[in-house]
Amino acid sequence: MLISIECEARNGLMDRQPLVERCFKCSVCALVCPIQYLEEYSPTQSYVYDLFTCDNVLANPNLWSCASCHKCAEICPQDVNPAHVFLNLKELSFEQGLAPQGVVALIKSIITTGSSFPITSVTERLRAGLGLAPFTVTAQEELKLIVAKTGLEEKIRKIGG
Amino acid sequence: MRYAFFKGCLIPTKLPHLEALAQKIFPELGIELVDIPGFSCCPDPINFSGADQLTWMTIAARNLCLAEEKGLDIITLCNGCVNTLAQARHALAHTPELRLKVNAMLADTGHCFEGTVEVRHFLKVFYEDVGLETLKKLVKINLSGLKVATHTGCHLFSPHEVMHFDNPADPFVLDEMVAALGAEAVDYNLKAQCCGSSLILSGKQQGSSKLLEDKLTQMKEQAADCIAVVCPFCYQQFDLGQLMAARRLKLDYSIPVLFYLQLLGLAMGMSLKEVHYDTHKIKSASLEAKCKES
Repeated sequence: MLISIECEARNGLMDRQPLVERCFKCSVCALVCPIQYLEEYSPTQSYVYDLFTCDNVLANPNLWSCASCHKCAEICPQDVNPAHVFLNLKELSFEQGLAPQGVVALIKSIITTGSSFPITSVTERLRAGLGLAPFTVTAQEELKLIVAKTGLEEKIRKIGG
Repeated sequence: MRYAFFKGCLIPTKLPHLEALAQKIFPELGIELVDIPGFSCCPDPINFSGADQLTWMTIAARNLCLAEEKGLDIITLCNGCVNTLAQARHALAHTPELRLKVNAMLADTGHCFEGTVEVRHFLKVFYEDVGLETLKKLVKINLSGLKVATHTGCHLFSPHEVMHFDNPADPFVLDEMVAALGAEAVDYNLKAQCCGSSLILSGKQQGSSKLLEDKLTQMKEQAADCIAVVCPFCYQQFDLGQLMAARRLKLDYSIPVLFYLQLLGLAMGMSLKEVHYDTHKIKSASLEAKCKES
């Protein structure tokens, strides 16, 4: 095996993403990855390399910085598609309660209010000034039915959110 | 052309002037926007899709159903919204088992995804359906002399097998759209690089600032008067994000960002005030002077 993912989810990840084994750490993805701009990364320690090899990737705070911009997938000579791998890792990280608080808060905002951002008095003032009708979301009841059925509601309850 | 208007979250809550501009300009291009009251957040293609893929897909499918039930295709002003909705549509259309599963998740809401709806970003509609020639006819004030650095944004063209638009490695569509207004689209390094919005959303301000500095330096080398974008997240990153980067890195220049609709508005004869330039955090005297001259 060319890489070693030392995380609890390793076997699960290999089952879901067998292409990860193809990565030969060429670091071409570091050329195009926006997360490479973080101070902790260098030519020898790229973002993708870090997430593919760190001890517990699900608790790696930078996992949730991935922009899903797909640049790594487009440039990868081995067709590994790191963006897709990280998406699956995020799901395991969320399930285990390891996602940052901000992410959990965002998910809760979307499923309870139907919007990523709060509709504040400033929103209403800006809209009224432009002659726009107030912004309202009426999806809440149906969203509640959906998250009950998919199990997301239960998942959030389990992680104490 | 009638479309279900998918406003998303960021524009109606924080940047409603872009919504107002769309309402004003779209009819002049023969596009009728229909409000669908039941739409929710798309939901976002970075965090929500990671947290729970099945729920992400189901909520997206619900939004698709609402348009489908009205017999309308969807138009968006946001790369994030179009990315989520197009990815969901693509997956549901091509994977029958997934469609069955998602429709089962939707059953209690009374919706069922049929697969007849299309999802389009306004740039794609402008480019493919309205066409450059029609746009050129709308130009009352030629923007010649204005140098524009375009930033299309990743989620409008990636993953390419789903989005089928532009060239992710070397985007050209927005350049042509800018040129149609008489302005000059400058070529610069790092044009395809992400705006770094996800860095700032995950609290990595230093990384976001360094990325912006890299992109802005390249734009400045080409003497860009402004940046053109088609996504509200890129827009905020180049406006408020640039302000934060400038403070942190002591940048001694600034390049204002304009949403493509604002540039189009200027070309159609609107003033800077009418395209809501006064709401911008980042302004520049050279842009203002050039807009007054033209």
